[in-house]
Amino acid sequence: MATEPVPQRRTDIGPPHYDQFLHPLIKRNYGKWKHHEALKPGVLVHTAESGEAIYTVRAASARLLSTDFIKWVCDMADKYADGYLRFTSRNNIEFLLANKENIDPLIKDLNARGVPVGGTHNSISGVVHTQGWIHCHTSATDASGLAKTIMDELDEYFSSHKLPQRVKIAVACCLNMCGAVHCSDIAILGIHRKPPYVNHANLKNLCEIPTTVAACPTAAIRPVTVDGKASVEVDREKCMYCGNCYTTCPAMPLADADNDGVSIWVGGKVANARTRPMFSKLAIPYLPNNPPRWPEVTEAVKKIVDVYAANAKPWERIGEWIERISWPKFFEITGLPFTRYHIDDFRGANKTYRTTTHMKF
Amino acid sequence: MREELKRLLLERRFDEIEMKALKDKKSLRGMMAVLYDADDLLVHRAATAWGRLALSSPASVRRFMSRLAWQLNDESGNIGRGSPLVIAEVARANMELAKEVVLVSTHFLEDRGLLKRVLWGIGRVGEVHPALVQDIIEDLKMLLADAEADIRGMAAWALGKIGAKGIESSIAPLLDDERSITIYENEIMNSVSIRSIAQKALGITGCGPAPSAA
Amino acid sequence: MEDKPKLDVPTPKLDELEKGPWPSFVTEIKRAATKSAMARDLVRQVEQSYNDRVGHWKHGGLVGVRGYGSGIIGRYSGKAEQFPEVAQFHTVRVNQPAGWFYTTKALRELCDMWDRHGSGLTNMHGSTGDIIFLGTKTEELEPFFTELTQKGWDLGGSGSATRTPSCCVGPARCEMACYDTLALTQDLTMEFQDTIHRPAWPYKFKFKMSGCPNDCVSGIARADFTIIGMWRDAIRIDQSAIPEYLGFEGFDLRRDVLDKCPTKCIEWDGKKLSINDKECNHCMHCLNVMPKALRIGKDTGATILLGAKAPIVEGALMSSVLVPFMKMEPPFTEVKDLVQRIWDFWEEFGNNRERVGELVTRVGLANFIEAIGLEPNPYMVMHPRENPYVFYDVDEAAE
Repeated sequence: MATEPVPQRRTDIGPPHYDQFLHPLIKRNYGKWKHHEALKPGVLVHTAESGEAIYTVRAASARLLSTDFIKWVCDMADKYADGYLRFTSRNNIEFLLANKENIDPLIKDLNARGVPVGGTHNSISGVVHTQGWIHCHTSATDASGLAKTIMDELDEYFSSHKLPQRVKIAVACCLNMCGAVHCSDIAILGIHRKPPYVNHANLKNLCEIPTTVAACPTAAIRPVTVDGKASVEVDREKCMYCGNCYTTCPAMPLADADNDGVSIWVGGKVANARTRPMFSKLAIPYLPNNPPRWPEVTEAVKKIVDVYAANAKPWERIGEWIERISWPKFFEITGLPFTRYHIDDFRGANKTYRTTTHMKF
Repeated sequence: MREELKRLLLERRFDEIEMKALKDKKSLRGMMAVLYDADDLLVHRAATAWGRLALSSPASVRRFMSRLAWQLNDESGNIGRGSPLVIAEVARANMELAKEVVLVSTHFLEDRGLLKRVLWGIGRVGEVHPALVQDIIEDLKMLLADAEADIRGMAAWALGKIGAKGIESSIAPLLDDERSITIYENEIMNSVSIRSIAQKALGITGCGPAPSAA
Repeated sequence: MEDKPKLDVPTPKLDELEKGPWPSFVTEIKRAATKSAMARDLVRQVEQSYNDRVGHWKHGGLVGVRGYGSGIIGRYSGKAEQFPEVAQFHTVRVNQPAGWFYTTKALRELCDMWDRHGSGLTNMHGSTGDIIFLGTKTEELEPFFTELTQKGWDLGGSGSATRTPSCCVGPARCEMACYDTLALTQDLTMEFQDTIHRPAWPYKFKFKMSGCPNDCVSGIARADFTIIGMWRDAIRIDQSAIPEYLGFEGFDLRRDVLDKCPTKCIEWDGKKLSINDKECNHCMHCLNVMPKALRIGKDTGATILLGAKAPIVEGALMSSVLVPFMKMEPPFTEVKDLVQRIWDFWEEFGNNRERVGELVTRVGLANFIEAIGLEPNPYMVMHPRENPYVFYDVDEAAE
């Protein structure tokens, strides 16, 4: 051991070049693909100009994976995909097969281990989410739990091509929204409903006050002196509990087990296909945190998906479907209440007021 | 450009760094990045340079103060290794620039990894503005018993710089401490024994804080 | 590998989430917990959170590796007495290979390294794109990092730094790719190593590269600097491939393709499909429906957009167009030059924690593009202004 050289410490080397991870068939046909199709839910074939084809088997993933599970995935990839695989931008696993005969045996092995295959085309490809109670301290809800319970309820839509179009679902455990929650077909957002508690005794030692004041989207925070110490106070009329002050200032916590919960948003879209990208809009302002299964949330999401599936035309995303039928109709056929919370009151809100007599009765 | 900046800092050519900062705005970006360097001397020298810039071109330094404080907030995903040093030097040179952030830096005692530099900053600020750090004297006295030589040595050093009174019994054990630590003073790294730091701290006590060094 | 590993600690609430058809994160944590005391205390703490309905992580200190100012997120349990093995439970972000391609050899190597230094838990992947190694102690960070770089891996960005760029699968597998998203991602990542590892910005800055307007990495919603593939010549049509689609059950060419075209520029006379390319919006819909019959053109490049971000502070933004079309070929000089000009302006004028999109809103797009040397272009806006409050500058007009 004494003769082992001390490893040289390297920095700034960047990631390993992707070239070394590409299946030889992919490398041969890089940039020369001709077309693709789905052979069945979860199985894609991409055909190159050369005539060669690569088969992709897409499998569900919890995103939070143990090394043992990853090693088992590697066993599958070794057995069926020449040792080549990738992950998708929505956290699914993709096995890259040169041999068509391996598709069904791979799917059998995956299913036997409780791993569904699907997530292609007009399906629900899983729920994009972040850390929640597992690792984040600004979270108002748990993300993995919500993702799991929602997909348990909607897994039939993962392993099939039944929906009018793809439905992208995301969970953000707080308004920081780590992930594209603000442009999802269905988004679940963790929220607080009470203002922060301010620790005046310690604030000046923990927080840089100008940044804390600037952190508030509604200018609800202002500097104040309390018992001779520089601090801040929160105008409770202006606070909408976004929690950004807590992010900048540890002396202003606002997590509250009884009043925190989630809101549900619908109709967002990132792709430019047919219509412009759209932001998600508020559908349900508040549902309680009821771990471990969040039944109210699961039921609400399922209802929205079922109504969409029954009513939308082929190729219509949820947002496009709603634009066509109108938002009032959406609230009507889903039975969701329309409340004062649904009406915007931030900057630019008046641009959302309805300035047309287009009505449906 | 980064290599040139490092060379100027290591050669103590601060005038040229100040000229550069006036002419090329991007050089301040480099002065932020160099704060993460593994070379302790380099980072301290950069802090010295920031202190001088705080006097010669406060307008260009101003916007970095919030950023440096934000890098001390663990929510940020940054590792503000240089922040305690730079904030202290700017506070000494031009408190108006640092007044919103100086207490956040001096009171950042929870993090062991940054503690030595935070203590250095406390000493530098406390030497000139002792009122700002009176409320952490008790914390510093507790750190005199720390297992790590760097920490107890720096705590003693900081207490000395502040001119803290009534520390005799807490600092007494350090009078037998032969361990040496390195402290950045007068632009160089000095190896000092903890014993001599304690002696100095006791010697200054009762006479008020030392006149501020440049 | 055990299907459902058993733990010695009771976790009745989390056990509920081991039931059901979807892969269970609880099973994953328990799997790691059979080997790692850290993972075991994690599952105990999360069960506590499920009972208390709050998280138990606290504001804590900063940790990292020497020489870097980002890439590691410090995390400390707020209930360390109860869950001592997660008293320190930091996250390491490792820059993923472009396109998230792996060999099993590489993945196994990463797993082995992590098993020796951390909890055995990962996220494949984080939202930005990095590999997330979830949970280790401070003393393991340097040794883990040294091993990682020995094997050719490096950390990703965090904090007020350039964040790890990421891209779609691009020309590695997709026929829609208008430029080499992987090559560009690799190139920019290497070019920007310093700003990724040493935060010197007002706030975070994210790059996302999509190969076509389908935007499969959601660049338009998430990235400060968004590159979306584009072509400007004719869509290539293979007429012989159309009958196959006409034969699909439930397929209706008029309803599904012609009527859905936003500019109604496609025509079908019963035998031949024709597209008026001058009227085409490049929305991708017809190509998505009939990929065997329709292909992107050959004069390809990308549209550059700027400014997307999540709601905090001034509201959510999508990226908006800066450059309608730019060729995207190595060494990608033009796009790098644009990035530097944007960075120069944002770094100098951005407030602390101000994303570039908010800076543009604050100073105004017209001022911003002038500052970075771009000419006004109608593709930068949805439509011209509606309000008449124009800051006329007669002196400038006279020049």
